[in-house]
Amino acid sequence: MTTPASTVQARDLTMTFGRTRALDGVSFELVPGVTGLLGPNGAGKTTLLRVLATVSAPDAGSVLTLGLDPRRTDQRLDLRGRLGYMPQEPGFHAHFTAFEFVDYVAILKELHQRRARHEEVRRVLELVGLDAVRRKKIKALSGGMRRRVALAQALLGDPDLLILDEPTAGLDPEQRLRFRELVGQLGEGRTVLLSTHQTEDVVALCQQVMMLHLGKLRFTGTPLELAGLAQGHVWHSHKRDPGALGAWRTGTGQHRNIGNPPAGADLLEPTLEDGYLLLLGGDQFEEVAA
Amino acid sequence: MSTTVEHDDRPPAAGASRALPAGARSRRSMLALTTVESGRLLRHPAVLAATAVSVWLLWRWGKGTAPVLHYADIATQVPLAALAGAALLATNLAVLRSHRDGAVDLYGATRLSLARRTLSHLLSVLPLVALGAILVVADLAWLAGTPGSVRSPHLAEAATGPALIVLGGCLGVLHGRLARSVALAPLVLVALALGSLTVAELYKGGQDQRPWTWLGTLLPAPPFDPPPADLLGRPATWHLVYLLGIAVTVAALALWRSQAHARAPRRAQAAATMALVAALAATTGAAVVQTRPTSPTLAAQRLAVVNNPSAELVCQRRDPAVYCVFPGFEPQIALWEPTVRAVVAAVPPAAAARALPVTVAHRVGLHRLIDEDVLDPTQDNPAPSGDRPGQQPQPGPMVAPVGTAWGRDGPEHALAQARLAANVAARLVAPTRNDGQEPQWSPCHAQAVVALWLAGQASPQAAEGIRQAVTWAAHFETFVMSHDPAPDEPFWSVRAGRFALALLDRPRDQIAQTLWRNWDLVTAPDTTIERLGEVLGIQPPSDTSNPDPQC
Repeated sequence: MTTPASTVQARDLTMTFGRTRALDGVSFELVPGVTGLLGPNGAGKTTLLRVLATVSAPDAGSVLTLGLDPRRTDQRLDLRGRLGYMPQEPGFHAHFTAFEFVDYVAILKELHQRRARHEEVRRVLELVGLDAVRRKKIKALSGGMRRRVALAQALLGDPDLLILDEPTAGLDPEQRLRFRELVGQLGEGRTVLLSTHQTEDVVALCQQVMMLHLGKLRFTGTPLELAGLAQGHVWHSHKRDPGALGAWRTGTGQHRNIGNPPAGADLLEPTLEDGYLLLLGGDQFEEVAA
Repeated sequence: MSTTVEHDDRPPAAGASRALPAGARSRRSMLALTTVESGRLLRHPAVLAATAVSVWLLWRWGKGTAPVLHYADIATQVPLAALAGAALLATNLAVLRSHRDGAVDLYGATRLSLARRTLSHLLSVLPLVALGAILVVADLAWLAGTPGSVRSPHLAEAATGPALIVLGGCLGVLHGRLARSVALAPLVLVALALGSLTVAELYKGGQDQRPWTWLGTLLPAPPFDPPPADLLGRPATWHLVYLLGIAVTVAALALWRSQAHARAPRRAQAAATMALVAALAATTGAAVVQTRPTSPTLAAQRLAVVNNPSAELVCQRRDPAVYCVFPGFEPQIALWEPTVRAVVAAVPPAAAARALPVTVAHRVGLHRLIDEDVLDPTQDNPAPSGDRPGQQPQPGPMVAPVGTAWGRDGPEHALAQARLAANVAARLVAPTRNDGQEPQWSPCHAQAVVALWLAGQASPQAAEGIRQAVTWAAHFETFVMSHDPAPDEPFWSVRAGRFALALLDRPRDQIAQTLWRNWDLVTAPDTTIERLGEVLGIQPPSDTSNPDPQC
């Protein structure tokens, strides 16, 4: 019997675009289950996912995915056969039908037997609930349906590693809920890395969470641990506290403050979002991150 | 650190055939992609439109002529150039699809390499090439089944159109791999079209003077009557090798570029490089061979056909005429017979009996294929000089010249019928004398008017052809019934033509009875047009032009 172990081991990943260091010595391990990747725009999330999906190679560092080294051509190709990648902008061919698009990607994934491939395409479209519209052109599908088409192609070949770049961006609440259900199911028995801005998604789906900021990995742990970082740093008040890193008026009319609370402040139970915002807060909170 | 990845017992991915070696799986996937891309290419709007244009052009050009298949095969090339252009645009758009739609990342995470995808796009052109080949074969089969067809197509000429499609497709793929802009391919297409048209125009001026024009992509058939196949002298096979060589060079460059981009295995890179070198060698070799000057043997053969065409012809007697044709062109005789019979029927039987059998003989205009120095009449080598209006025809067998092109409808058909009918009529009006002396032919006198009127009786098309010829020659004094006249071609004064048209507008019986009653007078060489007018009671057109020296 094998024991659960890391499916992805990344060591000192570094990648530079001009003067911008998109990844700066990023190291982490992924285990089966759903891992959320949080970070603001420009944090390096997409760059990291592209490296993991073997779309691009890092300038320095190494990554071992599913026991395969993508620097070696044969292993890189093997790895591509075992991972599913849903880019932030998949690049739909609008004149293709949903079936044609997924089928096209299936061929690129070297599912070459026509009948079996078509069965597989139907399977993944059914899995994401698009079987009824598979003959519709992509340009005629709603935004939510298109995201599901993108997810369907990532599911081709039942991959061991699923890399999803902001899959819920632009979806309405109902669509996001359905997406969560789907991704939650997919996370059973395989590794799912989910990049998102939506902390609610992470709370709802992820067993692990990583946070990137300015190319550096600022946090790895469970969602609870991320929320716990803000323990003692969230309080409410009648007015915005001038010492707060961030504050907003809640539905109760009171202000929720994040930062270093004044003495005697009315502390609140932190959420994952609080921990995330606190990590983004700046150098003054570095001791928190530490 | 070793990593143990926990795998569940999920089955291998459907359709993946993980047991298959990676190379075989990749090749089969490439073929699957080729199938998909081929289907999309065949359904592309540009390809559908080009197919319609090609079919229309093939039908339009084919329906108007009695086909000489070693000319009709050349005529398939321009229509298929439309498909080649469409192939360039459509493959370019297909190659750039991932860039246009922002799917580069998605494709980048898949197994099929960029080089294999490039190869798929290159192979996807083949069904379109097959479609082009089917169009060519169908066109030639249709033409071969029409009456009077001369069945001698050249495989290389017929294959040139499909080869152009191969080239167009490969160019589209290469441009897609070199530049990510979709604007480049249309610009390349326009440049190629303009370049081809320019070269084709230069080629029309005389391929022997400009053999380098064969470095162009396609060269249409020269616009004159098809000579026998062995006198064409088109380096069709080498040109086909040249085109395919360029296509393979372009394809190898596209592969090479893809391999460089995607760090392909060395063995694949070596194969692409070898293909590139071999294709370049074949292209260069074919370019050199096809641009060689015309061989002295061929030049001598052409000159012999011009100077002494009778020696090259085979004759058949089919009353009331003897038909002399180039070997292989015998099916055309049946097309001429109705015209000849109709003209003979319009001549008084006694006069016809004196003139028959009239000899109808093939003539081809090879002058633009023959070096002008050879044709220089000041040189020792005898050269035809009577083919130009206003010059005296060279002495020779008095035949009724007829071209090797014979239309079924349209202006060219009318002119071809008019030429045959008028030339037969000329020989009936001024037959070779019993003592073997040359007949006296006076293009400006009554006998020319009578001959043209007789020709107009052959058919409405012949009458229309005469009308066209006279109209086109309005600003000249004389004319001939051919764009490419033979040395022994009768010529006609425009005034005689105008008078004949006036007679053709009158009731046939009225004119025929008067002519038959006065046959010897109206066909005498010295009877003037004015005298003919008096006999017929019709005022001839006034002679406003400068009198021709021979009139």
